[in-house]
Amino acid sequence: MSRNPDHEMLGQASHDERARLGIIGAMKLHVGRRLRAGNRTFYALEAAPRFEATHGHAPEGPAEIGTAMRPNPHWQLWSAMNRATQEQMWDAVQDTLLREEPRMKQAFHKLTDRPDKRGSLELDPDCRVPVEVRQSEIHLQPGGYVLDRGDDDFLAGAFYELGGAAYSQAQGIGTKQSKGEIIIGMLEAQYPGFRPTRILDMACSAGSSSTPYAQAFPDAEVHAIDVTPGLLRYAHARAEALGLPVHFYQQHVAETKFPDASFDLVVSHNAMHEISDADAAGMMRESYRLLKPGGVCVHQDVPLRFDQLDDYMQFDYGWDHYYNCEPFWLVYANNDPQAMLLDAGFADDDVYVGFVEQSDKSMRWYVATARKAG
Amino acid sequence: MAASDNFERPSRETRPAFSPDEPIAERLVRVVMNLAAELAVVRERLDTVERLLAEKGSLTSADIEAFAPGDNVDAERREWRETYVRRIFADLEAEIDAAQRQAGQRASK
Repeated sequence: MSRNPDHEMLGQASHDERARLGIIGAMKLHVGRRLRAGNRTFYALEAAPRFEATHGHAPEGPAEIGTAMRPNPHWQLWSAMNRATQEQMWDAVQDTLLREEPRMKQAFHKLTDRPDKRGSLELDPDCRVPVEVRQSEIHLQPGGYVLDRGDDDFLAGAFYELGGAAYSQAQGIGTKQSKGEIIIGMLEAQYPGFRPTRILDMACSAGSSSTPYAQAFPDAEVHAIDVTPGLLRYAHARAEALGLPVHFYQQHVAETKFPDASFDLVVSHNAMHEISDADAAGMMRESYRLLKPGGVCVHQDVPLRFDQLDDYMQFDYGWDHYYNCEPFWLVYANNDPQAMLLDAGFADDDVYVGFVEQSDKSMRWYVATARKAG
Repeated sequence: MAASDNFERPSRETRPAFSPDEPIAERLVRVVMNLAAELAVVRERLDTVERLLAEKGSLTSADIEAFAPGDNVDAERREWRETYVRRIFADLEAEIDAAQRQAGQRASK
């Protein structure tokens, strides 16, 4: 199954909306790659010498590089353009979703009011929603993950899936293979014969990575958690639209309500960069507690590792933290999932941290994996 | 701004500014980029019209909505967009090229 298989809950763009997303994607790529690469030349030519003239030394570290670069007019114009493309992408997605909403709402009720539906949804108004999630429009997504306009509002999840698809398309990241399928392939190679019967997807957002497990392991029970109703309602309806049984709950990754040793496989997809270090460590501790002996956890995310980048590139990639509303981007880029897994109780020999490539080679992902002894 | 905001959101002007002394510049960037996008939307619609006319001789709005570009058309359109974006923002690329030449000359001195 591709990352964004067609289903009843997917917003369908009109001719012009598709064209608009196409051109915005092309501008996003041009600004985000070609023009972005030019910034480093302007840094060397203008920003660094100007900084040195006033401070008596060349910029040291990403913070001083930022101080040097922010007054540079090329960087200012580039930044305004780079943010504009992200805003344009969400605007275009929003046009489609608000036009499609009446049709999607009908589909939502048809799919989720059915007595014979395959999965379920349990919301908990007491679930802790981190302040950064409550107060920010993460990666500028309109209304953020907390957008909630009533008991049958699913717009936050719809934004997440359609915006994510537009972003991947613009970046040329292959969409033939979902993130779940990449990890399923990795598990087959790493642990041949591993057949989980109970699976948990942590911080599942729109559920696009939860359903591949239900499809690949039809005998397994698949559970998935996240913290906001708008994401979970969409994820639930989406799974029903695909005819795949997944049970969704409003729970925090660091404080789940499941009993000890109740899962064979615990996964997360693009979750680490959207939670604090304390919650990431908590997620690893929960992974250990929830796994049965012999069970496996895999935490997959973007390949952003500051220990592999020079100071300028750390400044450059840090842009998303300050201007694309990614509150934990820098925390994640500097974190140490291996240490977190060891602290959680996994044995040294059972922990693997590295990269996994999509089968079309268009993207590689960072993974932190561990198997519980037993 | 999207054509149809129907829920409360923080204003874009609350996002950190890149040129604090020239707030108008950033708004103009948004306007220019939206104009660039809209011209491409019209051009793609025209492309659909031309293709359908060549195929069928006449068409309706519904035909345009139903038009499903195949892989070849998708690839042609992607290529057109790339050329178009480079043309619109050609000045910026020329500045980078000039800066790179200058940096190269400095390095070789």
